[in-house]
Amino acid sequence: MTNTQRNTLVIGIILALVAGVGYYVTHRLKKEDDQIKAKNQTLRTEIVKLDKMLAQREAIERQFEALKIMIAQQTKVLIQNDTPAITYNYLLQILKWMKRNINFDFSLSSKKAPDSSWNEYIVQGSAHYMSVVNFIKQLEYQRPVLTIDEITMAEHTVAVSDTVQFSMVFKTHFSPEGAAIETVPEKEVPAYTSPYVSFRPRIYDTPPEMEIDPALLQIDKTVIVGMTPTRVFLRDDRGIIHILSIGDRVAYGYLYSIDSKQEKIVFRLNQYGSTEDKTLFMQATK
Amino acid sequence: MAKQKRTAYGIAEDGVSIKLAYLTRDGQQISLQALEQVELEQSLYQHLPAQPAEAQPEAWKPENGSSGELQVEDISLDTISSFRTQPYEKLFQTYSLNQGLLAINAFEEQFIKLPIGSEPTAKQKQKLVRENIPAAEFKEKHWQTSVVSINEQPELWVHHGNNRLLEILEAAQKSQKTRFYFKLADANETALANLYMHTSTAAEGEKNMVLYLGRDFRRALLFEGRKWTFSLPISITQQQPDIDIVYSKLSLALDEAHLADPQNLYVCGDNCFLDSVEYLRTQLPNTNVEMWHLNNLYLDGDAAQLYEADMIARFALPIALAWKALTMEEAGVVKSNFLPGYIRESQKSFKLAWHGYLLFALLFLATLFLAFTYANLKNSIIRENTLNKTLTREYTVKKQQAESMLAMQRAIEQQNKNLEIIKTLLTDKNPWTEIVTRLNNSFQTHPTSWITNLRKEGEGIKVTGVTTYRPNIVYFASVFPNGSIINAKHREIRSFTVWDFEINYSYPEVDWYKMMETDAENLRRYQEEQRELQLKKDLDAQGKPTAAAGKSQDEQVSAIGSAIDIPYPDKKLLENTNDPAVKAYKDIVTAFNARNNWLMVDLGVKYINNYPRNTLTSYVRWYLAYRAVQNKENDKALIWIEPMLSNKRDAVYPYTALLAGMIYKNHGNKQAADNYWRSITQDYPQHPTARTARKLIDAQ
Repeated sequence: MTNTQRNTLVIGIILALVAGVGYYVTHRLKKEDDQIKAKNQTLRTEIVKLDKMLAQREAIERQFEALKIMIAQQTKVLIQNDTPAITYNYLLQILKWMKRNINFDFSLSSKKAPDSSWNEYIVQGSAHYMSVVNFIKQLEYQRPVLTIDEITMAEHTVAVSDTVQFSMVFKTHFSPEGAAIETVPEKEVPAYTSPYVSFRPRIYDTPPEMEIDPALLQIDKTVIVGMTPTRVFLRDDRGIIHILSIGDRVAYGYLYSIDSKQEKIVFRLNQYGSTEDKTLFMQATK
Repeated sequence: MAKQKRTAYGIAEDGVSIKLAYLTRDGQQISLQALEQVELEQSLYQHLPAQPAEAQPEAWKPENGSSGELQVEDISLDTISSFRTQPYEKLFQTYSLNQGLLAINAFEEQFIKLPIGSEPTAKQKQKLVRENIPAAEFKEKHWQTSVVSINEQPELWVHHGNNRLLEILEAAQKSQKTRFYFKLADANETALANLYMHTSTAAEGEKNMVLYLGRDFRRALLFEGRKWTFSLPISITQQQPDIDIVYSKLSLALDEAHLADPQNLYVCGDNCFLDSVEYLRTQLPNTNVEMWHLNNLYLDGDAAQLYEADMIARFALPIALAWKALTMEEAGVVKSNFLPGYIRESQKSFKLAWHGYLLFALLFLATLFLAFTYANLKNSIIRENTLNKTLTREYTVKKQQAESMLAMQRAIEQQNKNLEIIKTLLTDKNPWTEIVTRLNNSFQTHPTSWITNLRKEGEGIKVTGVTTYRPNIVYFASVFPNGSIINAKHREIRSFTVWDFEINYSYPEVDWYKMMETDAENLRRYQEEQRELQLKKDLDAQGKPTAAAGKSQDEQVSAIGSAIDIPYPDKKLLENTNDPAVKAYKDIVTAFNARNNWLMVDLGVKYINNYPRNTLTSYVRWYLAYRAVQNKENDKALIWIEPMLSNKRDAVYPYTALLAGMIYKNHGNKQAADNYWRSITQDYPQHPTARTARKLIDAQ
């Protein structure tokens, strides 16, 4: 083999190697280039999609801001989280809003599944009926979702006839997507409830202790000492003479009538919850 | 290779001797490193047909002069060579011939010198050669040519036949398993002439002669200045001719050539001895005769001691060959080289044929193409990578923004879900306020009745109470659904007969769903408003709510919107733009015009709290109430304007009364509506709202 042939062969081999290596390298680079171009194209497409999406960003941000305001103002809101401390604090907050004080016992009920989104509480105590009514109303109508499962109200003693004993079982519901309770403002509770105390007894076996003006005549301890058609003279247990005309106030009532012919007088009294007429006769008086 | 070129070995055969000169070149300085000579048993060319019977019997004699016992006349050189180591083999092994350029001489008798007029073409050369050498040699290409000019007369020198010196060197190359680099195969004359022309310091016109007296080769070369003018053969048959014969032959040659005695005569060659030089000096009194000791040849320390001038003169031929090999690329060198073509070719490692060039061009183009492609791709990758980084950064930022936006969207959607959850949670729940309220109302209107106990009973409630009037029990049983009188027992309290009763009820229905629906409706409406808002960019920034803001509501609102008068504050109130109250008011108006109800309500509540006594507060309350009416929230609307209804001196009062009448009309309370409208016509007959009020009264 001559040098030229050898050199041709060598160049041929080099050419083949160069071509082979070159093809491999350029193929690899082309592949890399294509991959990165494809990646860039994908990114561009994604960016265009994102741009389209982000075109609404301003509106959505405004919506979101407004949503936060809206959530705070909507009728009912799930709170974000609940613990007995949160609920207890919330109950105290309600009392602040009511500007009333109710003494109650508060406890966490044990009836709770581990993964439930509510806590159950029991509240019991005694308070003025309207305070309890308002308290119930606040629980039901304020924005945080609390559901009262059970309420018991019972009349108290005659002595405190506007006070009721009460107990209630309620649940505080929460959701991670809810609002932080601190951000939920007070809501004006629109529903009107008559201040009438339905639990107050109207007729009693034993009259309730009432403060009576000591200057008023106590009928039970009085005797008639004289009368005219328009006036009656009465002496109380202290010996003091009282002169009464029709309509004059006495303890628990007033003088209703004078019957000088029959020598009797009638008092209309409401000592036991209902109006009663009490008649005194001259003769009966000693 | 560059280092090899600075070393050259001149190897010359002459008769039965082979001489070697080892020269090195460092820049312009050529140094003698070694001289060596071996004696052959016979001449290398002894067996060639061209010299059939000229073998020198002396060559076979041992150097010590003994007669010798071995007679090998019938044994050929090749046969002997096959089992004996030749002296030159040891010579070739002694020096690292593969490290330098090799320059050898060609056998004098193998040259044919053809006078030519000018430089012949390749075809002419071939023709001349074919005509002058044996056909077999021509066919086998055993010939080489060079054009040599003597005295400006060009001659075509043809060397034909095998170069035996070259052959034994090739054999040595094989046996040493190495490669020699043959630079030159030259004729003795041209090598010596070249050496003279390179080393001579002769002045122009100075006639000098180099007389080479070798074993076989003897020649006188004449120069004029540094120009080669004549080459005179000195034909002497003796191996070691007497000097007087030499002189006579020289004189004869000069006479025949009609040449005068030279001014300087430099004697060299194997037969150059001091006594010979002295003899010639005596014979040529007008000529400076001396040994050719080559003043330009540098002898370093060892060489200067080893080699004296006469020895250098005897080795003039190999020195000339090595010298020429070292200086071949320089100008003025006699351009003759009789190295066989195949040797030259074999030494041109990088020589290319057409196919080589073609492939080389392809290789170049392919490399160029690949380089361009590579560069383009690499640039593209760099560019794309840079772009990728930028895009990735942009994508990451936008993705984060989008995720944040999606989170907001999800929160908005979640709000819808939450509303549904709340609706579910509140279904049939929280009826207690309703229960207590209804009971209170019922017992208030049916006196001498009271509740002693209220509690949950199964899936309903149980009310235990007392009444003095039996029919009340029946009434109480109808207060809630499914009222069931469990018992009713009488007893006496003092002189009164009272009735204890127990009634069971189902829970009354409380429409939490409706309330939640209002919220959901508000949310939906708000979202629609936001979408519309996207299309509306030209908001009224003048501080006045636009009447158009009230025209695109539902039917009820449209009816109101067409009849209502909107209060506008005096411009003077809005002049102080630095007043935070004015700024806040304008924000509310902007929200009002943008129908951003929730924002307006939020800002409005804050405004009322922050500026309760500001003149603009009445306007804010009116706008809030107006929006509430548009949203069918009549109760809310009343709450907003309630404080204003008791202040007839307020500038907004007529508008407020007009709106209050609307609200009551929506409630179905036409009497109350009529009262409010009439109060406008009576108290503010000249007010713009009075006309509207009259129309509304007439329309009832």
